This record gives sequence, structure tokens and C-alpha cells, in this order.
Amino acid sequence: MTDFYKIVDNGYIVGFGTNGSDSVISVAEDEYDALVSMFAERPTAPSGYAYLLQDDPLEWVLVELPPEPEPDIDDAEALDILLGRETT
Amino acid sequence: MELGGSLNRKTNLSGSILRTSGGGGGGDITLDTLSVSENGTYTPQTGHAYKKAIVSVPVPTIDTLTVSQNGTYTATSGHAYGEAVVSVPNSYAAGDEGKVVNNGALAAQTAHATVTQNGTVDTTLNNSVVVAVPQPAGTKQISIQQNGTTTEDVSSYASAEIAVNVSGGGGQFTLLTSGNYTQAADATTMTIPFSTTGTPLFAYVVASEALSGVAQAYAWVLGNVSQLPNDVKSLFPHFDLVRSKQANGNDVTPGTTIGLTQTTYGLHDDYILVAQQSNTYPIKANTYSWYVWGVSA
Repeated sequence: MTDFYKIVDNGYIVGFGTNGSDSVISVAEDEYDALVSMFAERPTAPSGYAYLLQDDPLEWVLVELPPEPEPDIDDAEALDILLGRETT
Repeated sequence: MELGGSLNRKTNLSGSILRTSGGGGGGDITLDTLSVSENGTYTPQTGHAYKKAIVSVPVPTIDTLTVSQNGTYTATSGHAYGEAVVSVPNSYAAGDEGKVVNNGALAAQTAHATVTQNGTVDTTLNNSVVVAVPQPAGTKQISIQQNGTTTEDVSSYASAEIAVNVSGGGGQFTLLTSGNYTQAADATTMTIPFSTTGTPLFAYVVASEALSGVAQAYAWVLGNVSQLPNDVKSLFPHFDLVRSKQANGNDVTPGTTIGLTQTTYGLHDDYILVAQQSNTYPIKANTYSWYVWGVSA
């Protein structure tokens, strides 16, 4: 048997899926199908903005993103960490 | 009639016999009666003759001798046997020794049916017994799903090969649960919630990037695959602990393939932490399939 769920944070849907843990919000299959359909039509946000999926009513909401902080490490150093190599 | 002249004759005188003339010498001979009571030779005593002999040798009684066993039989004094009835039981040829005799006669014996199993068989009336106890041969495969007692009959096998699917844990190593997770928005940290029973040992996640237009799937193994039994590891030929591979077998550096520079994997009670974002690249919305393997309850 498949269970359906969604994760909601501050009124926006963070994620949804099947067979989730007890800490998620269970939804009916119809609502899950609606989430899948809505997600497949996610619009492309302009730079500096993102679309968030609002829970109620279910719709995409364009929000402005905060400026990205400077990275602590660059990609090459991160790769070294992942591979267990000495970092420079 | 009296004849004249001298007669050379015996004259029976009362109580004596006169010695005949012409023989020289002479004297009286006493006439006795000889009683003979047994067979033998009797010599008259000197000066005795016998005018009669009374023979009273006992006549043996004629009996019937019944002989019922082998041996030497001496007739009882005064007895003779007119016939002998011999009723000695049968005697048997040397080749029959040890055979079964029933009521004085050899019992008919036949071969006993083939004996095919252990036990006690009455072979009294059998002259032979064919024993054909099956010999254990071959190896019987026994699969045990968990600790316990098997009731498999292996009596006809020379050996048994037991395959224990899971050592320890009391259950079978299996796919405990699986599911999908869709990240609905870009995030700094993404966790995939899952619920399962039993004892999860490790999990892996397959992420698709269909939304970005790259139809690829990547897998991350969350847990120490190297510690799994070989037969279990064979289920995941493309994965090991740190380094992951794509489904096509190519090496994949976790994180970089989906634009991450820091990646943390772990199997927790309720969540699979798939990735932790770098400050530069947030985790893009994506769809994941996750699988949790472990020991069933």
C-alpha cells in the first residue's frame, strides 16, 4: 500500500512523495496527483527569484531570493573532501 | 527171550549198569537224572550216567522292542524280541543343519522379501534375506530464512547444505521500503523522509534531473556497503561506500553531478539526508527515488 505525503514549511510545500515518515503530512492520492501535476508545470523564475509552491491555495508564487553568500570553499576543494584527498 | 551164550550187551539193572564184558575191568555205574537248566555242555561225573535228562532251559519271552532313540539296546534277561519298532525321529543331512524343523520335519523356507529399512525382521521361515537399505547420497539444499529449527528430512542424503540468508538480526535481508520524493523548491538542505519497519541497514537514492533537461539518474549509497555480506553486495554492483556510480557504471562524484559541493550522506531514524548545499549552489528542485534495505522484523 502506498502512502502519500507532503512537507509544508511556512505555508509553502517543500516536498512531497510516497511512503514518508510519521513526521510528514499525509495526503490523499488525489492531492498527491495534483502536486505532481503542479510541479511538472513549474515556471522558470528570473535570476534572483524563485517560484515556491504555495500549499493553500495550491499555486506557484514568485519570490525574490536573498543574495547568495560567498562560498566557504571552491568546487575543487570540495571535490577533494569528497574523495578523501588532502585539501590545499 | 533168553539167548544162550555170552552176549556183549548192556543189561539194564536196577540202579546200576554192569560194565560190559570183554572190555577188561568193570564196576557199577550210577544212573542219574540230568537236569539241564541252561544251555551248555555237560560232562557227567565219573561213575555217573543219565538215564534221562530233564531240560528246563527258560524259553525267552517274545516281546516287541520299541526303539525311540539312537543307541545300543540290551535285551532284558529272559526276553527276546519278535519285532523291533523303530521310531527314531528324522535325522537330517549335514546340509540341513541349522534349518528350521517344525513338528519333526524340515519347515519349508523361502526367500524373504527385500528389507529396505532398519528394523527387526522375523526370518524364521526364510532361507535368505535380501537387505537393500538405501544408501544416503547427494546433497540436499536447505534454505533457512532465520534462526530456528528446521524440520527438513535429510535421512536419505549424504550431506545437507544450509543456506542462511541472513546471519543475525533474526530476519531476512530485504528491501524494507521504497518511495519517491519530489523537492518542490530549491533548498539549502534536503532530506528525504522515509518510514520503514525492521532494521534498516543502508539505503540508496536515485535522483533524476529531468527538470533540467538532462535525462540521467544518479545513485548514492547511504551506508557501508562494504560491510554487507557478499551475496548482498552483489545486489548493488555499482555502489560502494563513498564513491557512487551511475546506473551505466561510470564513476560519479557525489555532489558535483547535481551541482553540489558539499555532500553529507547518512542513514538516520526517519530521514535520508541526501545533500547539504554549498553556499554557491543550492539544491535544485528534483525528484528522487529512495530504497531502504535491511533486516525484516
